[in-house]
Amino acid sequence: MTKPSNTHRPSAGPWASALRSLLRNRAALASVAVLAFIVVASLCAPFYARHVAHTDPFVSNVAGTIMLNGQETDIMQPNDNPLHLGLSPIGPTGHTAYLLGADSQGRDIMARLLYGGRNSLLISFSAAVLCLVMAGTVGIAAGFFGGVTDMVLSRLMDIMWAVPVYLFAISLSIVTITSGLRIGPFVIEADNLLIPIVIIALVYVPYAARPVRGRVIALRQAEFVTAARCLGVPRWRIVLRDILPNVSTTLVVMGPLLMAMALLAESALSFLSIGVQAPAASWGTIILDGEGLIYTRPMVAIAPGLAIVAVVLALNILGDGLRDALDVRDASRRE
Amino acid sequence: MSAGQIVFDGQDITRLPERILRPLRQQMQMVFQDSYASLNPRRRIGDLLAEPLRVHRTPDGRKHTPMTIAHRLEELMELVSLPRAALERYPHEFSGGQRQRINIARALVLSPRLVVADEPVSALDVSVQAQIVNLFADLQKSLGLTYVFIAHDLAVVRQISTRVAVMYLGAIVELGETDTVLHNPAHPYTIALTQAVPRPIVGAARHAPLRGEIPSPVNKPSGCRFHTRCPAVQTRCQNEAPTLTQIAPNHRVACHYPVLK
Repeated sequence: MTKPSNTHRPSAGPWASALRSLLRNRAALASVAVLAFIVVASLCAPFYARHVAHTDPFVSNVAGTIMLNGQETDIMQPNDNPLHLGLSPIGPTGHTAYLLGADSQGRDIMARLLYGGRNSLLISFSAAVLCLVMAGTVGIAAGFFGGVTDMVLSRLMDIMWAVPVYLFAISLSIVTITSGLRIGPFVIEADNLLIPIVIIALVYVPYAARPVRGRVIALRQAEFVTAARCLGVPRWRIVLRDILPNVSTTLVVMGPLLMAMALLAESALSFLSIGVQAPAASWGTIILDGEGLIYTRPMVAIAPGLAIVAVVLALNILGDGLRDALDVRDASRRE
Repeated sequence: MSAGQIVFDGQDITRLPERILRPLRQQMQMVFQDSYASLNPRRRIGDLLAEPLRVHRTPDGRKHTPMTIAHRLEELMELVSLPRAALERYPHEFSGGQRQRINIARALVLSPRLVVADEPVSALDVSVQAQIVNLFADLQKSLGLTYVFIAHDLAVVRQISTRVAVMYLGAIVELGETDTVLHNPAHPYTIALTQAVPRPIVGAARHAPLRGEIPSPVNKPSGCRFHTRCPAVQTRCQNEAPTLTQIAPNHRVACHYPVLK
């Protein structure tokens, strides 16, 4: 314990010291690097498609050809079976064009993978943030105000919790996928990414709201909250200045884990073709495209699968690192 | 609150709504037992001390300016003998005694007339206890404060107080000047308390401690609350609750058979 004595350097805040301890965590740093690489690569998708692969990954190209080793090669090639019946898309070429091969519509898998990453990451990140905002609001309101507010909100969460997440998400998606979403004067088209974002955020709210509520109930009885009330601090100000900063660590730690769950949910919905809509790509839709090619061109399904695994794993390691880093000695010891 | 009433400055404030109570809160502040738990770990000391000034207005109804707030905080740091640099730090960077100084400073920000101190030194080391008790005593003199100082250590009580109220199971059993109550206790419970203080004399006679456990405050004994453990219990005590009655000038006791000297 340092005492304020001779040094006049202002001390590091809880966030600064958490960041410092996160920077010492090699596993967490490695996962940040992996995530950064995947995010940057996904952001470069249009550049890759136009200037590296020279293809349009949203247009079917079954009759197209590419130049491989100086000779023109069909993208759709006769099968290897003895009778050469049917056509299969080209496999991994090892060249910039069709690096990972093509899908059944002759589209460049690598380019689609990058474009798919944009959608998958955008949806899972936005869903996680939206979920945290909703869960934070619900959890703080239920925990701090208690009584009837808590009763209503907690039972609502319980009802949502009682329905399996995926079943819930699938039901909501099927309803909205045909007609879009109409809330009063606002209409969200069926192919708008907001629909999977809102649905995924919503189904995970109970999972995030409950720990927040528990934290807030503990905090509400903390002596510093009593002290603030003694000082005559209004309740809304106590929520913002005393409760929220102490809950924010819980929210931040849940962030990456929620994003990982959201990514899996998004992939599942897209795989069932009730998430991201064709011709747009997401890792889930590419896996769906690869399903029929699983014996001949397994790379179509494996590549997005590996991307999902990498991101989910990195997010989980990052989440663990954040939890360790934010477990500020004194803040956690007292609870 | 379960029972009783709170009167401040002649006004019953027991059931006042928060809206009316808030301006009154400026005049009465509180210091808590746990010096760490009563400071939000995520806010700097300066921020914590400025909070009361940000939510209350000056006596002539204006907001406190950042200038006056900064000035007031420096004044307070001086008052509780902490360096100004402490304002930039977080609660976990201080020792228990320093944190209690911060809590005292926060209680004094609004220049209250009454400070309720709930066991403010019982969680501190004995050497630090003395410093904090002396700080309380000095501030009382220089600022003309009134304390309601809750403590279980009779040495601390003797040091800080002018009047003492002895409580058992949530009710006052004896009330009077400090000297009277501690040297001529009239209630059997007060007598047991004063006898329980360890005396630094080798071979000093030891008094028998009270028998039994403290009954549950939810399910209080009939009659006198103390009758289950009283060494001088009589039949009357089991049925009839004694009221706080004057036995001498400035000395009141709630006992049917007070010990009078």
